[in-house]
Amino acid sequence: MITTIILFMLSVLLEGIIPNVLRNVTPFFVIAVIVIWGMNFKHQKLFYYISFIFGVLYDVIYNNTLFLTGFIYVLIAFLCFNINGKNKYFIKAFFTYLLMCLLYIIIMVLFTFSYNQYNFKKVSDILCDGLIINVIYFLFIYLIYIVINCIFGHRLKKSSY
Amino acid sequence: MKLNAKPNKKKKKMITIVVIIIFVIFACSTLTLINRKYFFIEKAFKNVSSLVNSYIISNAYSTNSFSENVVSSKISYLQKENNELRKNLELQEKSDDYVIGEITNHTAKNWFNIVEISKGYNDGIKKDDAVINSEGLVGFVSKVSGKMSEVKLLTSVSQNNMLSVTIETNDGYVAGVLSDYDVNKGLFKVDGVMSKSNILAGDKVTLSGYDNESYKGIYVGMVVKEESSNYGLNKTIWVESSVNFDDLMFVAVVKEKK
Repeated sequence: MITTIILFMLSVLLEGIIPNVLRNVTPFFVIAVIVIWGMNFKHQKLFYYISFIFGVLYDVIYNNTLFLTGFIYVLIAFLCFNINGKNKYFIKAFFTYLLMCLLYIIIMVLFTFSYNQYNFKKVSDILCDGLIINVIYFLFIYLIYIVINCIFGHRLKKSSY
Repeated sequence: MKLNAKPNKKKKKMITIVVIIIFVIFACSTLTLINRKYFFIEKAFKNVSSLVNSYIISNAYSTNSFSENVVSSKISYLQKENNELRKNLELQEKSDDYVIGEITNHTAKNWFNIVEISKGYNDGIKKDDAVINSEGLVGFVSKVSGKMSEVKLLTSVSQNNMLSVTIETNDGYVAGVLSDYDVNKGLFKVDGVMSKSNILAGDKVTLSGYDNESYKGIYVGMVVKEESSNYGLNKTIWVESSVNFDDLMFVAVVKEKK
């Protein structure tokens, strides 16, 4: 529980710092935490509440929307629980992560259609420009997940990866 | 057969979920679309985030050479001419004051054409102040907090928030209205040009200052091409800005100082 909250806070902070250091990068760090950490979280409702709270925090710090990102994160958590279920395969988690990033982009494009003009190049730039840093962060979170699983292995179910 | 059968629990749940979703979408839309001020808690979080980010940025980059270059983006000859006229009329000279700030938040740039800078009303920044860099006009301040401000980028210009501009031609100054930004071409559109003057590629486009005197002379971009419409009665001018909106680091907020 504490590790989950720490990872969420770290991801929210890094989402603000990384674009200042590496411009044109759109980070999706919180989504990585939701996809990976949701795989082994026992209490679904509690995980939804945590995702919602950190989504609202993200909105308050970075965006002008209130609750939108919170509800998007809850939707992503809900979809991850239904897609991944109890399977913890790395490849499945990775593709789920890419799919959720795309879903997030599509929702934001639909919501901000009146604020901004989009074309295919702009949307693909948003996804592809930060792909490397997002994948690196995904691997980093997955590594932490494996380490936590090994350390607390006697309390958790065995996972195949 | 029961005539007044109660709806199932599942149906009730579905209806509740749909209603909540509609309400959330409506609430989020109104909260973003209305020209609202920051809530107190938003100000607190944004100020802290701005301080953290500006600390990291100030250790990574320096603003020393930036402040010298920024002055050139305000057309200096217009200022000199203006001050000469004022001297002749025995009025006080005006000079602009610049507040240099770092861009501390790019997160909303992709979706809302907004960036946040590390200066706020404690530094004398007000709403609707023009924001420039060494290449030209970047945008305008849309919201201000104690230690940070939100800047609406020029790329968000649309039919709902147009800008009055002046095109400097060989035959004189021509007025127009900056009305749109074309993402595909990367060019700004200037409409409402009724003058018969020849507008050539390379002519400078600046803000006219009709709505705000402190905007006068701020460089917007350069004419790329001209299109005629309405049987030659109206012209549409395409303008290219030198500002790279994808790579903004430091900006200057123009404050008018009497």
